[in-house]
Amino acid sequence: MVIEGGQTTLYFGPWYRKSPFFAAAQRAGCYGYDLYNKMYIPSNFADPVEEYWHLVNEVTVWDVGCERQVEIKGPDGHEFMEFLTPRDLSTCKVGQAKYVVLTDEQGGIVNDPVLTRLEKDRFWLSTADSDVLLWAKGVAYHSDLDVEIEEPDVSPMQIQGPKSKDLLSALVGPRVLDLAYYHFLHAKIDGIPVLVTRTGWSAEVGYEIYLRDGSRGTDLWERVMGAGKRFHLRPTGPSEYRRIEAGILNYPSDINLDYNPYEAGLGWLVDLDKKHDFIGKKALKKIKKDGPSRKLVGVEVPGEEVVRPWLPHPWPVRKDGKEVGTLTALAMSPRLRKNIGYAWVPVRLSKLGTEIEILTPAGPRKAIVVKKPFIDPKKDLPKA
Amino acid sequence: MIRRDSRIGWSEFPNRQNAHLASQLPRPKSGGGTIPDRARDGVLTETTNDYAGPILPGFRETAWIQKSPYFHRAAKHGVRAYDLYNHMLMPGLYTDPVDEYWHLVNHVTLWDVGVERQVEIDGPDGFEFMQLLTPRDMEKCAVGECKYVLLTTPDGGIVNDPVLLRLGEKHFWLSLSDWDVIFWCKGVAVNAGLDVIVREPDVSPLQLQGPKSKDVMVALFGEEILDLEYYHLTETQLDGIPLVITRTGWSAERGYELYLRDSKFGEKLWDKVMSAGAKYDIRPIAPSEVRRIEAGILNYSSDIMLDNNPYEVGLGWTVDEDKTADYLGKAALGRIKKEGVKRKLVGIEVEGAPLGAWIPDYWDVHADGRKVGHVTSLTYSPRLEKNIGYALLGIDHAKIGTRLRVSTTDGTRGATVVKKPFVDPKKDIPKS
Repeated sequence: MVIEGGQTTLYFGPWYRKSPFFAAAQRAGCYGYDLYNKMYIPSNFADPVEEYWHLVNEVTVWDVGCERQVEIKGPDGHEFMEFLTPRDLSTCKVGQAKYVVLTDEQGGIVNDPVLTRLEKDRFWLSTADSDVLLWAKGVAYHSDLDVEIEEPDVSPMQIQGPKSKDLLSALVGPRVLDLAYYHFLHAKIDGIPVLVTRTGWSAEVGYEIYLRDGSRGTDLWERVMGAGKRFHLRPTGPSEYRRIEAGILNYPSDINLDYNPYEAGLGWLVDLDKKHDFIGKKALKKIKKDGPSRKLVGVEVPGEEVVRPWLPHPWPVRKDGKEVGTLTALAMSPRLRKNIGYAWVPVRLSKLGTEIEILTPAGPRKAIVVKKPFIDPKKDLPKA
Repeated sequence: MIRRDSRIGWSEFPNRQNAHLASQLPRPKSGGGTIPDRARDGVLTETTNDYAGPILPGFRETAWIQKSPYFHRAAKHGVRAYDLYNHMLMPGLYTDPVDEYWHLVNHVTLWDVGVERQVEIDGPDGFEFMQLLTPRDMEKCAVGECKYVLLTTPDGGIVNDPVLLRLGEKHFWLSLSDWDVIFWCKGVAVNAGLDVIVREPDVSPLQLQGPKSKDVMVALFGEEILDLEYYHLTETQLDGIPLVITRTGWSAERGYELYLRDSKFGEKLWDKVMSAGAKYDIRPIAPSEVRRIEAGILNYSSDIMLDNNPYEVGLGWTVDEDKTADYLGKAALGRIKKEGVKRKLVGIEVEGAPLGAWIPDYWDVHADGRKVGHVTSLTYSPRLEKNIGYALLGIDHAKIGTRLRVSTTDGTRGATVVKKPFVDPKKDIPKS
């Protein structure tokens, strides 16, 4: 028996913003949407399993205009950016991108954006689903730093999958083949201004094309689709299956303000010894010293498929009949033929091999704490 | 066998063919609007202006979109479409908007507005911090009072327009409209040099709105609840369920909000209110777009946004010009007031056949052959028998009586700038 993840209908109101690619994606057959940063995100064009295999074997394009950008610039831009994140940016060169967390004074995670360093004092934060613009503007108040914080006219699309190199090469020329993982270049595609980064949410080889002129969304979409024809390019939604396999986290379901980087397995993004002060330093120092009390772990649910296509809301985690945590992600990997996901559990239950129970609407199921990521732990695939 | 874990709608494992199932909804019984039988092939239902309002099928439930403690109770009454607000699902339509509107105006209605998330401000400098956040003077807000307030940025932009509850000398809740105010408040606190606690408490409001809401409240809490004045609060409990009750709401009808202080009692509270309301013909409905527009109530993220200032959207009255305490935006708002605004949010009437209850896009507004602004909200009022709404227009075209053209999805229509609110300008109804 498979539990079906819920599907419903939604107001189609003007208060959700549409990306510059919205109309084109709709014409391309999008039938299922999610909402993210107060914007529509096309999430299904076909069966999610079919979309997964296309991502893994071919190349896909995603309308992720909902990855809203926050631009930080001004004479103190670098200093302010250092204050916002526990990651040391002194080694982040202009032309590079970094995955970072932003933390609050208690060490809670405000967001986990991909940062691009456009100039010494100019950054874009490509944000997950929480309002970093308000956060950064709030922090700037009384900070005594000379900095401007705005949302620029920038809308990303992701090109992900093994053939994305061929496609990008066709779109912006072979120099894109020299672009290293987590680096970017400036380009024009038939005169459309873009920035191309070697990043993505799939852990396949992939790129993001940041459109820099919102009026050219359909133009860019058509150029990409046209060039992609011979590589079997298909529009899809971001793949929940693939990102769970890769151990990629989703804000705000897997991580949010209630959780700190150490317990979420993102301690590698915290540099307590970095030269600059940052928000949450004191709290994170203490958390590191005391050790976290809970952990986000990988879980596997043995047996038949639990939920399709994926978890519709967080389910309770139990041990010996008592509720001890929360399941935040679950899906059956089409490749591994296993139910895999993440759960928040107390540290004492976080050892590999620990048996726990998840409480599904159809009754309890046994689950086992396992190592994550589930495949390609060194990220050899996307770096290739 | 496929089993659903929630009780809204139904669909097979969605693929392109049966995505239609998500929009195969029953037709409403009253004549006020219909929802199309099915979506076009794999595409959201485009507005054709002859039904409730545009609906997007195929919205996938996920672990990152939250649900209120009333979600399953509300769903049992047949929610046909949701709205998404503060990262949560809110019932947006049960029967049809006209039917729901008349029930609100004539009887009593219950709204699941758990999406009105709270920011709690407390701590030794709680009062000073609250003063810093809003142009409204908190010296004029006694403990036990509520105020409609704006939160503003240093350049005078509007971050949010919550209802503030003053629970103690230094203790406040901000009952939010749509968006992440917790990050704004926490961000401001980082460098403010004040000793303050900013957090989200476990609070989930219900709205009880309509003329018979006072009867239901008396049935639940006894006669003394009638002493609760407009925009005041009381802390109480109902058979052990901890509550804050306010005489507020988003309808401009007589109404109350029940702020549940422990989400585990959600379904118990819902059931108690529904059974006390049974003899007054209580019904769960969605917040009424029609009624709030009649009343001139604004909706954050359509009528007001971060790049609007209070004066241009007609909320200058929430800026206390004699406030001595400093606050974010004080200098900028002083300057804007002196220089005057460049654009204005006005009431409009749009000619022609009845439109739906809401619109899919911010339609352009033209005058003298050029674009002069956009529609921010528009609906058909069954009582006034007119299409009414708001538009944000350049100041030269904001005078009452100005003739406009509105570009709807189905061609242009004539429109006129009119006075708002459209009914009960002195709010005699909710105060009564």
